[in-house]
Amino acid sequence: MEETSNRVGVFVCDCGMNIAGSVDCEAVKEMASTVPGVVVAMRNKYTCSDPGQEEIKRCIREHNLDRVVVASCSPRMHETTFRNCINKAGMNPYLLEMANIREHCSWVHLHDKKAATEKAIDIVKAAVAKARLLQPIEETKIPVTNAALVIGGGVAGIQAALDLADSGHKVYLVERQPSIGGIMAQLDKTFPTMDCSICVLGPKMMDAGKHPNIELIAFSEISKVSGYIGNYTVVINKKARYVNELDCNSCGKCAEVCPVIVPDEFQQGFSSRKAAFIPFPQAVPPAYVIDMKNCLGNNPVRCNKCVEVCEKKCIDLNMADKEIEIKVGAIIVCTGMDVYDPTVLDEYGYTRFENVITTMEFERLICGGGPTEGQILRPTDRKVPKHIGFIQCVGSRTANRGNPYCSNVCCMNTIKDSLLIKEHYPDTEIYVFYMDIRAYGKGFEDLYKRSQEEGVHYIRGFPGEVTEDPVSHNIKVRVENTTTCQVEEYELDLLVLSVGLHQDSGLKKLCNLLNISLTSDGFLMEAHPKLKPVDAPTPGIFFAGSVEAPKDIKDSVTQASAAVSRSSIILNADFIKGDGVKAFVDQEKCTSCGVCARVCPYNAIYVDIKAKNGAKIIVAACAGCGACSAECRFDAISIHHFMEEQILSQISSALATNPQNKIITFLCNWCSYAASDVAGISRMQYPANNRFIRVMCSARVTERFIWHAFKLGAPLVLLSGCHIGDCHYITANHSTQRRADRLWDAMEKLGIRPERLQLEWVSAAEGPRFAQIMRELEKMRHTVTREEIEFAQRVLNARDNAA
Amino acid sequence: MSKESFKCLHCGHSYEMEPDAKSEMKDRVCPKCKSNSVRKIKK
Repeated sequence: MEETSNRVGVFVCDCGMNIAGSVDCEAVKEMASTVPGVVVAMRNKYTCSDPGQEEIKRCIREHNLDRVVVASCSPRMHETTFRNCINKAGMNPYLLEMANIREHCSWVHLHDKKAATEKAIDIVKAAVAKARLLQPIEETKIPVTNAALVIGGGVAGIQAALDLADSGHKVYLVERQPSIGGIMAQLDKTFPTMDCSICVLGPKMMDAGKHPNIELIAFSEISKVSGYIGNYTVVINKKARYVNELDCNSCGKCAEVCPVIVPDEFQQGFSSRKAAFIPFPQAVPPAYVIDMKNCLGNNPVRCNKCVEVCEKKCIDLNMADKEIEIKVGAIIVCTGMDVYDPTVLDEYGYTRFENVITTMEFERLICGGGPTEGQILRPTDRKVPKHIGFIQCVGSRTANRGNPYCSNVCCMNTIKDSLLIKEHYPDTEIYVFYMDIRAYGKGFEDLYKRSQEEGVHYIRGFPGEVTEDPVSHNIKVRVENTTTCQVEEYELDLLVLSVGLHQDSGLKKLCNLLNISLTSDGFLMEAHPKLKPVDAPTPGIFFAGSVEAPKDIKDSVTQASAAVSRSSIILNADFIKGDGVKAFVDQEKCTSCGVCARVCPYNAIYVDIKAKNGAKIIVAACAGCGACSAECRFDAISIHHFMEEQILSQISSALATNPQNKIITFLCNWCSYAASDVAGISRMQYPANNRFIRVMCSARVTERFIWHAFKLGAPLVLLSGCHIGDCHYITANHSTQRRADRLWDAMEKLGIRPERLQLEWVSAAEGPRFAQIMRELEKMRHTVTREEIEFAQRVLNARDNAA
Repeated sequence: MSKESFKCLHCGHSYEMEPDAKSEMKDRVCPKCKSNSVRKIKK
């Protein structure tokens, strides 16, 4: 048992009216002052403000406090703020406990002040109970590898790589395609300045390819990631290019003799390329690649013409994929996005009518480097169209067949395209069918007005019917113009679908490798949406560009530089402080059975079973999930800050009064706790009977915690964590599932209804689902009878006594 | 391969499923109420 503090200070925050609006903060403060061990309780308007923090420091000095409880917002929001605050007053930062009475209480019980206040009191009492048992923790010092990995070579990745390299850091820039450049390389012009896209991007691509601090690894994908902040080991699978990229001088003779002709993906299939090809003239690295899927060299009868014609002998058709292992201190993810495929939206005729094309296809048609050298020629007859229509929001802002969010760039892209058409062919009539035009950025509104002044017709309404004239192949569009309230018909030579953006196809796999999460829209989740917008929740991993959400070039570049700035904090340090939440072993109790080592997802525990000299923690590798601690049958291994007695004290405190009305809920820090915060931020209302206990991972929740709650009279217990496959600690929650299975079996044997232990996986994006689960659990709670609760208490106490 | 039996501890729904060919652990999701409180029933 740890030493118990008797000098706790409690600071109750009003958070303006965010907490005080639905919680009687004065009553919470008054109650807190009566809790054993508390020597001072204060109330602040805003505890996180400078005066609020000064008051904490003053109380620490004046009352000689040795533990601090701040009852305010989520610890995911301000735990670091208050840890720093008490540290400045001379206290170990881990002697702080936060009571989340905002996201978990005031915001989710807006209309029941009495219940919210009772719950806030329970939350504060539980926090004090834990705080009294907190122990100071010395943070580990971790050496940093001064190198960074940038994944994705679009404009964001190129900018990030160049900024890091110019700052003196070694950078590995990994790109999946044979050339860097991304989607920006395929655009003709950029808005709002109407610059030539490749003219802006090309020099940056060359700089990235030649920079002495950048190692460009193109045509490669990440296959394995291990390690932690400051010390990641990454395995990269470099696909066989069949051309030695360092020797290739892009003479093009291989392509000249290559007999295989296939559609050119870069030109959106409007022209062809050979099996030996360079993706586009400005490609970096400036080297050819052999498309082995189509190359005859891979057939039993070898063609070999390219090999024979290559004077530098840099083609090797037997080249194999190879693995490259690198060590980096920080990782920036810039894998961008994919363009929506409108094939499913058949009412717009994309699959049926050749003269219906997408905006990406239009970009290649109007580009001077495109298949028509900048002439807009419609596909059916290669004539210049006189009437062109654009349909906005294709695949965006729709719940049914597309994505619910706004893709951010489509309105401005269409405005840009309309001006380009007017520039090339001033007499063209252009019709834009839209819901609303979103021209919010610098210079955007001016561009929109310019397009209106040039005579572009903006028609508010989406076409209900798109048909084709079988003779002329013109596209006929019927639309309800919601401005004039008339059904109008238009005959167009060419119809362009302004398609939205969505998650890159490889992002899910990458997320699993990097142990980072996605939000419900399929883009990367930030550590904090406002305060850490380029940080992933996993320390040492950052992101930039459209991988976080659809954005334009300027925002992507801005975010790239922001990610570099954040990662430089790590890379510029010789050492960084590691989190203090780590496993530790009581060697007297350890039997060297090895169970802890088997469940550790990080191989951070070493046990020599034969030598029987006790488990050893590799502190730098330990991520602090606590799976080892929960699995140890001898109480020999524990986790700093989430120790057995600390969590038991929280359970006891929460169930000290009216336990039959309360549902004990264990939430993992990264997913289900984050979801509970989202429910709070979104003001999703649910009953006030839950009492939440935060653990770093659901795998930390031992069987003892569950039995303890039932012994104290809890009718229901909920165990909640990340979805299987999304666990912040790789596979730690597999232990949670296995433990729940064991508990259900044991409950049944003891005559306790297994239904009283619920298990739910809730991702950080599933705030609405979290609130729904809370509402359903409250209904379930009413099905548990007093007799059942008392029976379980008797059975469990008898079992303990017998043991 | 014989089917595995499951019971949802949230709504009471019982169902059977083919075991995962790769033996990978996945979310157990009740097909009726979508709860993860799904218990594998030993035969």
